[in-house]
Amino acid sequence: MNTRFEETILSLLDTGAEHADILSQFQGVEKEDARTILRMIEGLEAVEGPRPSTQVLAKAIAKASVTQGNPIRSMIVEQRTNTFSAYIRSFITYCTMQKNIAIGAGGVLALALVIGTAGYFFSTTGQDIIIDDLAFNEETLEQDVADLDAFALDDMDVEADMATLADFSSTPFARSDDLDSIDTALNTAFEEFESDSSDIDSFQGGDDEVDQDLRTIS
Amino acid sequence: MLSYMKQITYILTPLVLLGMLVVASPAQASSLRPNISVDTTVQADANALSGRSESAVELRARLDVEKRERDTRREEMEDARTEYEDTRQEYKDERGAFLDIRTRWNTATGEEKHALRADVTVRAKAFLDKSVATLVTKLNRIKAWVQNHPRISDEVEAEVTIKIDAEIAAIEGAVTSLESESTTLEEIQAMSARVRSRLATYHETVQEIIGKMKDSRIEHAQTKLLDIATQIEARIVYYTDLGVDLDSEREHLARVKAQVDAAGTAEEIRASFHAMQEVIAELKASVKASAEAQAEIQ
Repeated sequence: MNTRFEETILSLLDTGAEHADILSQFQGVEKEDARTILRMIEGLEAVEGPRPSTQVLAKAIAKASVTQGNPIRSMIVEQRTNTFSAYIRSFITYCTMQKNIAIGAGGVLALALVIGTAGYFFSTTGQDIIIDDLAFNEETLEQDVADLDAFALDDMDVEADMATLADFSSTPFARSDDLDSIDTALNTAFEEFESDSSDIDSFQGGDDEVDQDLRTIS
Repeated sequence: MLSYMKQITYILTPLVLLGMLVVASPAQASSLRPNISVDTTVQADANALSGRSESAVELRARLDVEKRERDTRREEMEDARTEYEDTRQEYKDERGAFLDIRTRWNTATGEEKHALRADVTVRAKAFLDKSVATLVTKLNRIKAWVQNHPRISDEVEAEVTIKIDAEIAAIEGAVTSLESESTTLEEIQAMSARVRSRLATYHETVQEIIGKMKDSRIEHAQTKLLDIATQIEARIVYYTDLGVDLDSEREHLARVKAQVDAAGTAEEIRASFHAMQEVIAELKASVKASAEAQAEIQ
């Protein structure tokens, strides 16, 4: 965890930013950083462990969003209901999280093959074949979706997430952790005050003897 | 058939290369990273809620710049402190060397005393030079602290900077001919007297500046404490709406706010901090007790 995130989080907490606001500022960060950020500002044990799954992180984020009634929750639901974009995102997520260049390159190669072949037929035969019919017909799309679903969505359990959300929403004291953040901000301010006091005190003295010493030159 | 294969190869080769570039590009790889927390819709919603308009990428870029600025500021403060401490040590060394030769000179007579005069002059000049440098580097250290400190107001910074620059100019102006090799011992003594005559004003200026820094520190702490009090009030309203009885905490907080307002010394500020910590502790305890009581009912 780099100190930049720590400083940012502390700074945002310091200014009274809500947790959901803080989370939203870290969109797109690395998975490990996201886990640490959540642990820092939410204290969630759920994100502990060497390799938390995406599902665990998503649940943690959902919990965090519910505490503030933030639209992050609705986004998560929306992301899962928006099937096609979710599948594509999941595929990209899978490739990049696994850092599997071979899968990424294979996907690009397959796409290039489809487009190239379509372009060839379109340009050489002059027949009225449109690319959509070749590359994106309904049957192919369904097959693609099924294939992606088989390996990319195994950790995106919508029902479980919704159950977690519902359970957490029923807790009336979900914001009690906010008091800890205020406490932390207070302690930080106190430490800054003492640090400043120490610095200012250090400016006292150190030159008192100059007057007496200079008399020796006379 | 062979010509078809060639045409296909011509079509596919640039596409494949383009695809490989997309996958291998760090910028693209970054943009393809899993969006663990929110998508752009929610980012926009969150920004709208918080009044922010910058994207996460812009935010990160800004935070990077701010961090570099903070690091630079810390380095400038540290450099000024180091320069002052080094100069102080050189001053002590020169003082020891001057007092040593001065003692020998005072006890010498005739030719020996005459022979020592040139050395005394050199050592007196170096000693006076380091005396002035000590005063100047101390002022520069204070100026660097004020100019780079995040919790000093612009007004105090501007005021202190003007005072310090004026004081430095006055002290350095008292020793204008110190650099000359032909400066005599009598001229050094005269410059030393001018520096000494300026010291009373110098000490007053330093104390005045330190007083302003202390006041600024207290004002900042008061602002911070009242800001935290506002956050606590918001939580009290929230929990009160949930049915938690927090009248005692609300009254306690009101008393602490009055205490913060009235604080004028460092000790009173420290007491205010501790009082605010007590309020939070009481609030936590009440909320926890209420939650446990509700859990038992359920």
